[in-house]
Amino acid sequence: MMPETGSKKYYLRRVSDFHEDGMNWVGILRSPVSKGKLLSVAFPKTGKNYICLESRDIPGEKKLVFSKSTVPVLANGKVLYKGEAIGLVCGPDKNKVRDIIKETKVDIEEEEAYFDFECFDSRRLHLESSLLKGVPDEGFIHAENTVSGKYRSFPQDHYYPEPQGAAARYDYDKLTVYTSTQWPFHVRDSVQKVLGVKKDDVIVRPTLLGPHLDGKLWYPSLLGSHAALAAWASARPCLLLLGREEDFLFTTKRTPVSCGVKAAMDTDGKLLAIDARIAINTGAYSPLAESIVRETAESLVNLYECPAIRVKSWAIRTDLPSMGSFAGLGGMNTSFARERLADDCALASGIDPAEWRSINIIPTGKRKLSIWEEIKPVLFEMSDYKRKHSAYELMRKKSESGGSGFGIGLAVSSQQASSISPSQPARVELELSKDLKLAIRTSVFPATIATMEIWKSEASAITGIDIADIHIDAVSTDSVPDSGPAFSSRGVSVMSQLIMDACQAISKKRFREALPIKVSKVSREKAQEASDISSWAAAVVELKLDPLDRRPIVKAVWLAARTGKILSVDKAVNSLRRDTSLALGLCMSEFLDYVHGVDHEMFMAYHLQRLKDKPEIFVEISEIPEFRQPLGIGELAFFTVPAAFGNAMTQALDAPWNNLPGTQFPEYNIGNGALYKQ
Amino acid sequence: MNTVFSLNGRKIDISVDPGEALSLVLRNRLGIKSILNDCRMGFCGKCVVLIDNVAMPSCLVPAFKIRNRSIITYEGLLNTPEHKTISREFMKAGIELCGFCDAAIYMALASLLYKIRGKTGREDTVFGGAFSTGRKTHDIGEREVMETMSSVYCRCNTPGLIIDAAKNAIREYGYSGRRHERNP
Repeated sequence: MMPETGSKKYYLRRVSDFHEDGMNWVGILRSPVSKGKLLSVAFPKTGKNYICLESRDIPGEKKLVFSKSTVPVLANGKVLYKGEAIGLVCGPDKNKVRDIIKETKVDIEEEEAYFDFECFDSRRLHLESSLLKGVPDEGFIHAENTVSGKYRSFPQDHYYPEPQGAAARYDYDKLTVYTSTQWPFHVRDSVQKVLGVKKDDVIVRPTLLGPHLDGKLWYPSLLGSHAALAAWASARPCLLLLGREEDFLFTTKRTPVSCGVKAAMDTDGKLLAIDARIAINTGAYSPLAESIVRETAESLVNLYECPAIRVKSWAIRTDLPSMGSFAGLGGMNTSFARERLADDCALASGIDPAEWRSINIIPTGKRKLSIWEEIKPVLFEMSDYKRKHSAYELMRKKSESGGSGFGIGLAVSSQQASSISPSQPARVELELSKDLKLAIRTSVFPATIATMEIWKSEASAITGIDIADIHIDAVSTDSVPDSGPAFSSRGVSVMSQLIMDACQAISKKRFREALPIKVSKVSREKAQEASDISSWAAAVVELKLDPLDRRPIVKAVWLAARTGKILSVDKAVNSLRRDTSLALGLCMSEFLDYVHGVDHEMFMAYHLQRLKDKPEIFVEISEIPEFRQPLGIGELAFFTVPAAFGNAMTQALDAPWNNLPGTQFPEYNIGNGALYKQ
Repeated sequence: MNTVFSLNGRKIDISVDPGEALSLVLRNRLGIKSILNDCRMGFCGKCVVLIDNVAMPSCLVPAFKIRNRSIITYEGLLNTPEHKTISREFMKAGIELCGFCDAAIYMALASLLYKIRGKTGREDTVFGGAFSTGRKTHDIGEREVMETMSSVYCRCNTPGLIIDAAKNAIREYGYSGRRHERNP
């Protein structure tokens, strides 16, 4: 790479592509124990080109600050999980950097570590929240039927297409950081504080995101700070690229959740009360805990009408790597619990699961009927759910212990716009130049080419400018407005609408004002009624158990969705098919449990489902006419498919399948490579 | 030790360590950016190359073992009829890859197309020898397509789309993909 001159900027496609003459490699010295007092770090003698850094060498703030928590850039005085960054080593030879890390002596006074989050005391409590409506105890007194269950979801890895990393290089007085991030301005602000410099002195240029499952919200800020520190200390371009195992073991995972729920119903199966206790394992540091606790509780109770609700949630600190978002902020975990509970309630009331949902589901906005009633006939026709469910139910009743081995499950969910920081506005800037070229600028760069094409075609349709003359500027924090995090389908749901609004404004000004014309639009997220403006989906999963080892063999998955304005049906269908296949893989493989802490075996035992193992997937999507704006659909499959799979497994086994992911053996829970009895 | 081999038609003479993996030599020393050193255990498929036209994960191949062999990477596949066929079919199917696994997916499918052309000159060695049916070189069945396309580990792939596009590419390239395997 050459120094930047004039308007020429250098962008990087992937972090691993970073290469410059005289560059340094950065390695992270990690804690060998899960918890302890950090007494001393003794780096070996290194050559003059090698630099070792500790917390005390940080020139600015030593912690990344979030709304209710902090994350140390490098451990200072104590370590709270195995693999926590203690120091950085950088130098020109990657192998020598690795050797220096190996030879470094770290003296830690080890303390007892806690990995369990279902039993905890106040010292480990990070956040507590409760949600109360009506008088739940009265509901239980008058109940005809009560149902209870404990639904657990275990951690899972995002398994990014490339392990995470960051690169940093000085270009005269500016430090440019390259990292794959959903939130470039968060990286910039973090790096700026850690180095103690002005915001303008740091430029962040995100690299390709790939399928990230919302795992790149804040962690790239930490890696970006590490790379920036190394570049600052060595005055050379620096690349920090984690190995696959390092990324797997020490970066964020899906937050494990244990959800104990009790529901009371009347004789007709109508919900009278819900009482839930949700324990959330946030790991050692929990930057997103507040949002995760809120989302988790809301997702549990936002779909079914219930006059009395009590939900208590606890975010628990454990001595494990930080847990975070995974296809949403915890909604996936409690959607699974809610839909499993719905089936358990239907079974206890002797009502068909689809009918139970019709009785209890909240009507959408001012409509008398919920969107579920519109989806239902389409989904049932596609999947032949009614007939198959009746047949399998008969088989289940006739079967002896162990179940019939055949099951079909149903689940429904909505996807609302969720927010990490509600005050964070979304911004977009459009500029029509003198040569009639339209530039779109936002820091929420489209995650897919499909979204990019949609933005361009919408802009072209409104302004009449040829698609070839519409350009979406590459993201660089010095040239695009801060649009907040690329999260919860914001690219489609918020940014598309903003771009369309900005295009309308450009069209109005076009023949009235002199070129170039610049238009900025800002949108603040509003608190919405849960089911008022949201996409909906319902999924059906049909499976049978292998007669020999009783492994589930999924025959097919059907998913029907209703959303706002659909900008491209083909692209929406493809996106839902991909998400459905991914969500199904999360039910049947990708086992991970921190019951014994972090170890190498976990990595070796973790496997993604391969293409050849995927069943047939059928998707149908159409618009809800009242909703004129595009809405996000990126979480719908994750909210419905695992629960539908769980319901199908429950029918096939004739025993509750309450763990995500789980096994075909209902009496077992998932352990770390080995199974242990519940 | 010195190793001489052909890389995308270019003669390479390079000194390698006995334990050095081919993938590291290709990416770090010869600047082949399409190779990703991801898992380094042979299961992610992101470092696949064609060695004498047979697809192999290059992280499992010691660099000294490729002496006098011909290596084709994604860079060498570009602008070939095989690449054009795959691109066309992927575009028709609306497949959008993530930017990380693209090269590996193309190489995996290209290995099947090369087999159709009989370039391998071998009996049926399927993708790294993981699956062998003992059939003739040109006889590519459904299962083989599935196995080959499943050899790349990535969350961005849409299962139905990519398999259908692969079958179409094979059909287009000169083989009737409708024929099923005889002895799976």
